[in-house]
Amino acid sequence: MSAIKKLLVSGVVLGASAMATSAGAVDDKIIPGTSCQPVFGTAEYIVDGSVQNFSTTSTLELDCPVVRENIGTATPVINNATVWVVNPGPTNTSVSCSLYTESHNSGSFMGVTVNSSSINPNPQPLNFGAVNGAANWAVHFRCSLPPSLLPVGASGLKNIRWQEP
Amino acid sequence: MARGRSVLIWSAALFALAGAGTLLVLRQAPSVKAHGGSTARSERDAPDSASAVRARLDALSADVERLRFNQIALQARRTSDTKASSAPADSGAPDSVPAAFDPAVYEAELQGAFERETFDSAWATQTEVSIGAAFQSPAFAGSELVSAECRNTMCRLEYKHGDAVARNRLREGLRSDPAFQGITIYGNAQDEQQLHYVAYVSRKDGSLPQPTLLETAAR
Repeated sequence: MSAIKKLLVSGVVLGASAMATSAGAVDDKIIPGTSCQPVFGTAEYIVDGSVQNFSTTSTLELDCPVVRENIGTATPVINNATVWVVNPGPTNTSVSCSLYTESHNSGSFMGVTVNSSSINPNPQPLNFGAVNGAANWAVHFRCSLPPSLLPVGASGLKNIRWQEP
Repeated sequence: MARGRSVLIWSAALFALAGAGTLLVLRQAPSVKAHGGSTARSERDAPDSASAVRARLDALSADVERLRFNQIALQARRTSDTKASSAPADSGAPDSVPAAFDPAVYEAELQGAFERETFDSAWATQTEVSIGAAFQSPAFAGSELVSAECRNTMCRLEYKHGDAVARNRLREGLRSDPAFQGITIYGNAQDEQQLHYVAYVSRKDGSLPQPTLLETAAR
């Protein structure tokens, strides 16, 4: 193969790989539940990366930071997100999570709240759609884990996934 | 050995490309004065090559013009963005990227959408009562509900806080009170102290209208 042909082939390969990269570019991130901070109640950080509420009487309130990589974008600032939670019951309780975007001066905020819809000792997803906001707005989750149901298990938060535009 | 041969081949290719480029440049000058005799003679010597070079030059000239036009357009857009970024309410953080989202504009859009809504009397009345009751609960202590009005898919709230502690307490209360479960909320302060808010709340499992003007501005 001549040098010119090699050059052409290299260019074609590089161009094709660049196109493939941009076409499949999805800015997803995921963090374990242990990234969350307790606001009210006592958090138990488990070796599998989840955070759980061992209390049988008190709710555990958590705040979980969401790192925003593209801080200059707006509307939406997050395309979608999923919080994997465990809600073993009892039946009148649910795990509740809110996804908030907050302006830098606390003057404006937007929030979407999703509650777990079923009792299940296995992780279940809480799915969030797009949330709006401006450049430089911070993003975080606020979640409530109800008291544990003995002997079934403890309510918990496994991980959080989100996608930026 | 093979590596040395490869280097030799690449060097030869680069040399050939450089030579071709030089030839192109040398031939460019006379072709500009195409009406001169010397140019006519060279074109007679190699008519195909000369026409090909001229076509290439025309294409290059068009490219240069296109690039120049794009650069002017880009500069105009940057100037426009700089002017726009000095106006929005939320551009305080140290960032050169202009903020395309103006909280006050979005609030006005929500207000317009709210006013255009039909009236679901059963849901609206019940929800207004629930919201009023929430503001009477200890979780909302220190905050005063100025007004609450619901239509079909959302409610408009106006409330005031006695202080920042009450404001934070209300934010927690919004999460825990049954009246605000499964909703989407957008709140915007009306004063610099952030003690007076107007908020729009969706119906349960619903969403608020998208900021259409902002999507256009976001490019």
